[in-house]
Amino acid sequence: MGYAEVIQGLKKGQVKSVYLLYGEEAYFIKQLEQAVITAVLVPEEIDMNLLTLDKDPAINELIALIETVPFMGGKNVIHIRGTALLRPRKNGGNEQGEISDKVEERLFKVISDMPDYTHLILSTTDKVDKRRKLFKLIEKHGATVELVNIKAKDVRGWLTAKLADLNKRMDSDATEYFLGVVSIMPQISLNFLHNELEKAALFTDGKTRISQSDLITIMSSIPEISIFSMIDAVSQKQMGKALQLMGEQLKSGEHPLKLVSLLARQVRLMWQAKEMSKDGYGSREIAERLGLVPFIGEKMLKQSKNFTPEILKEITLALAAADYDLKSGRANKSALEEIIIAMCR
Amino acid sequence: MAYVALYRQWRPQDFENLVGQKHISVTLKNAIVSGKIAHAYLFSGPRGTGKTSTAKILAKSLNCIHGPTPEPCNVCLNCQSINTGTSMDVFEIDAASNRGIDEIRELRETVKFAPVDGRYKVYIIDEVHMLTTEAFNALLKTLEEPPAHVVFILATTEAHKIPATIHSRCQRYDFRRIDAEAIEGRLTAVVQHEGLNVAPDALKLIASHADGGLRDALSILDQCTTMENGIITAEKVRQLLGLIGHEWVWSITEALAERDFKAVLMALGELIALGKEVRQILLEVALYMRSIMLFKAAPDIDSIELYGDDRNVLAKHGEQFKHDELIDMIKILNEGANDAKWAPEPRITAEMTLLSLCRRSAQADMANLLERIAILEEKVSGQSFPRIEPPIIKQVETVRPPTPVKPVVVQPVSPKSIEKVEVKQEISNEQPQTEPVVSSSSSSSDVKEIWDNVLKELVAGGKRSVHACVSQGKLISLDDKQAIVQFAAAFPKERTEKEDYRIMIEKVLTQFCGKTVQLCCILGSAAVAPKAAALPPKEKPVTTASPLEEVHPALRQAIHMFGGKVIKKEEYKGD
Repeated sequence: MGYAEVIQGLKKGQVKSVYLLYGEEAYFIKQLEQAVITAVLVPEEIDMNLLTLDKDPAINELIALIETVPFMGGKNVIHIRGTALLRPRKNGGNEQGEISDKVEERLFKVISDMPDYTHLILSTTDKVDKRRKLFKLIEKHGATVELVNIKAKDVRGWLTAKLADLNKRMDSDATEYFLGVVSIMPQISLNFLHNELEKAALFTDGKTRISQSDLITIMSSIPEISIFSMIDAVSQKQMGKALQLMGEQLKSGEHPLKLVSLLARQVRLMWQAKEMSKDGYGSREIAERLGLVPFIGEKMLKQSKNFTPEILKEITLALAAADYDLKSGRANKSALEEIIIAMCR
Repeated sequence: MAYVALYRQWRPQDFENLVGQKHISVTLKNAIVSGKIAHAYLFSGPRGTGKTSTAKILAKSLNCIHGPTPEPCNVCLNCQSINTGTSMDVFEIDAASNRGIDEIRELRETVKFAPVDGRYKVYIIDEVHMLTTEAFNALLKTLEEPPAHVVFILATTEAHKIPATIHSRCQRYDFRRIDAEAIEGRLTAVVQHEGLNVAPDALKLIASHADGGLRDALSILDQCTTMENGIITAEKVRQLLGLIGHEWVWSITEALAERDFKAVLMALGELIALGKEVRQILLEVALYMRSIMLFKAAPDIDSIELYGDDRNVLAKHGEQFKHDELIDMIKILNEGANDAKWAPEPRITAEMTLLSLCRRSAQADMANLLERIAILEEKVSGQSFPRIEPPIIKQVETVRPPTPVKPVVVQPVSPKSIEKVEVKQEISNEQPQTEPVVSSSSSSSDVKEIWDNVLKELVAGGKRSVHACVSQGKLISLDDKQAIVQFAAAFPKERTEKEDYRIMIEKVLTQFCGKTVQLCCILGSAAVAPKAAALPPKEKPVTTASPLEEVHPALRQAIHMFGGKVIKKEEYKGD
């Protein structure tokens, strides 16, 4: 089952009795937890009828909890975070001897026949062993939802939904800017993006559209963003702006090495795009092969037109040298400035 | 009453007075009005830009008697107690001194209690980057889902030190450096209000020196006022800051532009006599050069702070230097400043640096020469100009000291191979410390001996499988860069070329011939006539080595570190 299916199911009022939420995208897990809880309980009941546990109770206790009739209100929700019930079993795990096998049998029985007044949410960001009986039972009688890390190309969909939630619209250039920034992130933290969007929404309170300049003003200047605008500036040969952006990053205490690696990635992508276009690939194909969002591939191609392959090669080598020199304490930040200047010329 | 420093007197008490952070005050005000208060904020930005002040204003806005309001009244009991730091609901924690897990545990204990007077319990954790990892982790849980009445405000100058797990739970606000104009405006207001006597250009200087931090600016102003009773001029501020006046930088720059050795040395001497630090002088000259460069690149940028903010002077100096010149000069100055750090007598370094700047034209000529030589060399090796060839060969021959290999050239061979040999010999002549090519004809017994030793060593070292494979090959040539091993069959050649074997053999080879060599495997019939082998191995290093020899050191290092080979050399001639 996927995220969207669960949300749709909840909207239709089809609440399963057991949910297993697992995967690395903690943001989605949290969203689903909240969605299930609000679908089952009215706000006043949450205090009384929601039981959140941060680790697994003993199985007997858990069974007892599941079978407890709600004191007030109609339903109970038991929410176990970071559950280890489904962790891949270690070889020769002696702790779980024969005694617990019996108990487990009981748990299986309870899971396959949950009382209709209790909903159980198990969530974990750890690995889950899909071969275990418990997993199969939950799959059969409830829902197992895997929430993998979101890819840059899937952010657009998420963004649209999020903006609809916030009652905002984004200008098309703002959207491109946002997705462009996202595309450069080595790892996308939806939590972070969520916070940034909330902030942008507050900043633009009173109007429905979020413009690119709004985003530029309000978004946190994490290195990815600065590098993004810096590359833009460099490819338009705006040396002053590029140097300034870099200076700001360095001043805020960012280590030059991080900038080197981000810059190297961009240069490499540009180089690759250039080579591929020379071999006759279209921008779409290039994006696909480089694993980029189509319009980013296009952008790379466009930006790479401003550089000759020689320059790109030179820059790559210069970045490699700067990397080495920085690590061996031979160069200081001016090495980076020189590279930027060389690129702009 | 005791004197309260200016920056404390003038700490902003509401969003209106927050200087230079409009994007933040607007957003926070909207958040308060619409009731969308996040449970955790992260304020980051350079020092003196208003992080702690904003945190306090936010705390007041939330707890003011008049409601959560974007304009705290500053008179009600709650506001006042926050202002004086006695509020029971606002905790200002200095994470730099309470950085352990115990303090955070304590904090967690108090979080669950309802606020005493106000609506919200506000925890302001200053310098949050100083918390230990354990403390951060202890904070995580609380930060993720604090009770509804709790707001965390984390303030830090170094946001990148905050763990990502904390980062993603907070709404982050970036405080920008306040631009010099805004600081100047604020300073003017302060000066007027306090009835101080400060010249406008002094304020400008303070503002530009504060580097975007209002607190720094006010501190400097404070210092100036305590020092002086009369009017505060730019000159006095400069004295206080220990700044080297722009005039000095200007005069040095002009002397550099005119290549006036004497003037440069005099200026430097005078500056040192005045007690300026040598490195600082070099750095300031470099900064000024950078300003000229930036000004030349984009005369209309305002956002960059230019050192020596007089645009007329910048324009004048800008005309005197070329862009490339400036880049080289900055490079030399930076190097000089670095060297000065370690030099026993920094003054000498500074003098050397400045003098070499004066002579930069000569250096530029040198670069030109080098470039021309490179072009010539390319032409020679690329044989694109066959008609120029003979004179060049002649030249080389006259320069070259007689070498034992010379007779080879005399042999009637096609012009093509002459060139190759020529080029090759040039290279070997340039490195007299290593012996010339150990050609297999002259010392084939030597090579054989080394090879035997290598094989023996492999067996002795217990690498029998390697030995079995490698022993099928024959070392046919060995020079200071490369060892060429010839194989009769394809399999042992390929196996030997694989990373693990190759490195092992290279290691052993190094052990015996005392230099790092690269293993190169070729396939050929085992029965090569010894006479014929005399020439081909000579040529072969040229042909097979060229892709590796021409590669950039960085690439070579990458190959050395990660292994692998160059499959295809990219060619850009067509572009």
